[in-house]
Amino acid sequence: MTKAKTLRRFSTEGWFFIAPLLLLLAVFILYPVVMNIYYGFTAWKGFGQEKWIGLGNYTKMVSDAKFWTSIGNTAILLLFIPISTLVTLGVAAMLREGLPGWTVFRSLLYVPNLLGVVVIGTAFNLILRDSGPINTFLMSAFGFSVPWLTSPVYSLLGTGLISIVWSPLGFGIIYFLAAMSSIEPSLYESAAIDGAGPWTIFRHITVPSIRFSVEFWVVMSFINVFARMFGFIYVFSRGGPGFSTFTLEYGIYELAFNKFDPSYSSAWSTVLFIFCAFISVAQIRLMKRNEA
Amino acid sequence: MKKVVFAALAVFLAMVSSTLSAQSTTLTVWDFKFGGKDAAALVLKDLDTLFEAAHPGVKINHVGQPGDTYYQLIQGAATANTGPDVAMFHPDGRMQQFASLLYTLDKDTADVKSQFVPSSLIATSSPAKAGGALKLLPFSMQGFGIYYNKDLFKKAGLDPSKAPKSEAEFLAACAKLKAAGVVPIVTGKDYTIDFFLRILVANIVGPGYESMITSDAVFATPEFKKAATFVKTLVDKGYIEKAGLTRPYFMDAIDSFAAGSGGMYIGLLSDVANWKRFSDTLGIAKVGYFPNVNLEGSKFKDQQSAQPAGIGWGIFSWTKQTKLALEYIKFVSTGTGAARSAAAAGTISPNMMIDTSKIPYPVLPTIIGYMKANFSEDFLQFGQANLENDMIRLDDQYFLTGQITVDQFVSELQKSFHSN
Repeated sequence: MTKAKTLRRFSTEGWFFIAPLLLLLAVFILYPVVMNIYYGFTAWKGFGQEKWIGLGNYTKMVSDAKFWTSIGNTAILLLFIPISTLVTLGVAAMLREGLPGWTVFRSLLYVPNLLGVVVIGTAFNLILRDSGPINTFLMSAFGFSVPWLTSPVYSLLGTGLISIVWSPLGFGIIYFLAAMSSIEPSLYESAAIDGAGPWTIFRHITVPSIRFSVEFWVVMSFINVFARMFGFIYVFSRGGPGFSTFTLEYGIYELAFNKFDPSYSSAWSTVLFIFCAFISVAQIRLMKRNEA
Repeated sequence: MKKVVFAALAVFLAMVSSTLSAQSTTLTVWDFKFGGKDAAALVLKDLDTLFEAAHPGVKINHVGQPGDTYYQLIQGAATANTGPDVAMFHPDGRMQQFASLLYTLDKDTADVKSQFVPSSLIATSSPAKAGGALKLLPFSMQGFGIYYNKDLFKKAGLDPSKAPKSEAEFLAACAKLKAAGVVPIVTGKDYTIDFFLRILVANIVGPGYESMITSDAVFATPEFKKAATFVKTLVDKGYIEKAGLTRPYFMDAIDSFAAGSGGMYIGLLSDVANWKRFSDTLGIAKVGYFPNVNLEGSKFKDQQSAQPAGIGWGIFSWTKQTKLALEYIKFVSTGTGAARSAAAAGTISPNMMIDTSKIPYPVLPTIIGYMKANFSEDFLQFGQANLENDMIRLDDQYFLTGQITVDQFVSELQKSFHSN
């Protein structure tokens, strides 16, 4: 059998093996994306015949204060990504040093990952509401309470800290510990002989050695903030108080399912899709750069 | 012999087939009440049993859907163009959105239409005006009012037989309740303020809601601004229980007032958070009611903010059992169905044949008296589906977080009213 024939045979077999996946991708990813983009150019109630309106939804969007509020809130939440990354890396580095009882800490820190976002959101809504246990304790012990859910600042802060920093912490630690385990121990030994302190070791050995893992974590965090926070926000704050935790993703839901305007919602979704596509392209470039 | 056997077999098969087809007649009904454990849910279960007994071979597949995602599920069914045969709707923007998918009832309900308050049939039509196509058979009237706990009024040194209806009396009552260690107004997230504003608007526009929905400046009026400022004062003074504003109105706040946790409650008239719920727990002689706070300068007094139809039953045009579905919605909305619902769940029926005089709750005649004399249609029922969401977010920004001023509040509300 010639080389060309062998390649052709493998190629045919390859297509055969990936066909089910391609079919699933086409049906559940490609088709919805294409249709979403299409409906963004129409007026459609979710049923019945749609009407082509060109850029109508997009011109409405740019003059819609809610859209810009949602972009602003999403941008603020993105600022929690560096905090999340530093905290997760820092805790992982400390655990790597083998603190006394670190296996217990590692187990405890992984707990949030075992809980779904709905459970976490509901639990924190109950705990932090004005009549919840924390405020009841603060009021009885110190005579004041904290408006966790009724202040725009605290509410957005709570959303960021719980959903972006705390909730993925356990997974992040395991992920970074796994990455750190591949660092050559002799690097640490040499640094210790040279008298480097923990911070210097962390900054100049640990982080550069796992740079690819950190970059991947950051990219995943961006996608998480853009497109995976709806479940938490829905049960935690419903986008409120007011519009203070009203994100792009939450707005898409509200337009489609409360305002019953799926075509306008599709236009918002297309914007979100573009953001996520940019992030994915950045991720691919990073991977290629690291491979090179 | 063979012919006899075949004939017998044919008869047997026909009988089996007929029995099977009779047993398999299922009517699927969706609503957002059936899944609960309260009186409204129990009544619906009871009515299904009665309907099945009266219709041998019919099975009601009643699905109690979650209230907060109910219309999303309806939308999902609409997109798939298949779903329940019968569904419960709020006859506001939420029903109007799906009106094209609902069977027009006018012709088939001619025998019972005269039983209903005429305005309830208008509210359940699409468009919601005289001459519109009837899409729902009204099941309840709804409205908003202020309930008070007479025992706690007495404890605070207030006269429980006298409702604090004027602005000064209301503020004084709140102050006295607070001084006596009683929460003046028990609150729940979103809806306490939402309902309170809808109550106060009734005293501004009176029965002439048309002027409100056609005006360019409904909310940007001194009267509405005064109403909003009044509610803000109640929040700032702690009369509206601030800790309750993060607690779900349905059902935590309702349960809290029903358990005697405070002096007053901004409640509903039918089905839930209503006179029956509170009377059954606090005592039938222990609940007082008044429809409004007569703010200084308001054009109207004691207006009862209400909807001619709070909820109604509709039939999807995709059903293959229109006749049975019609029988079902008539059964639950008229005669025994409506009477049982009124007596057991406290539904105020738009069906004029229902005699409420034998329902032994002293507060009920007071409410019905206000509904008859001072009925002011709730403005929100004429808005589109998202108006209430917008209003609740703006309420948060003005009353709760203080992010916007009263002028911004009324101006944004006005914009939202017209854009929705």
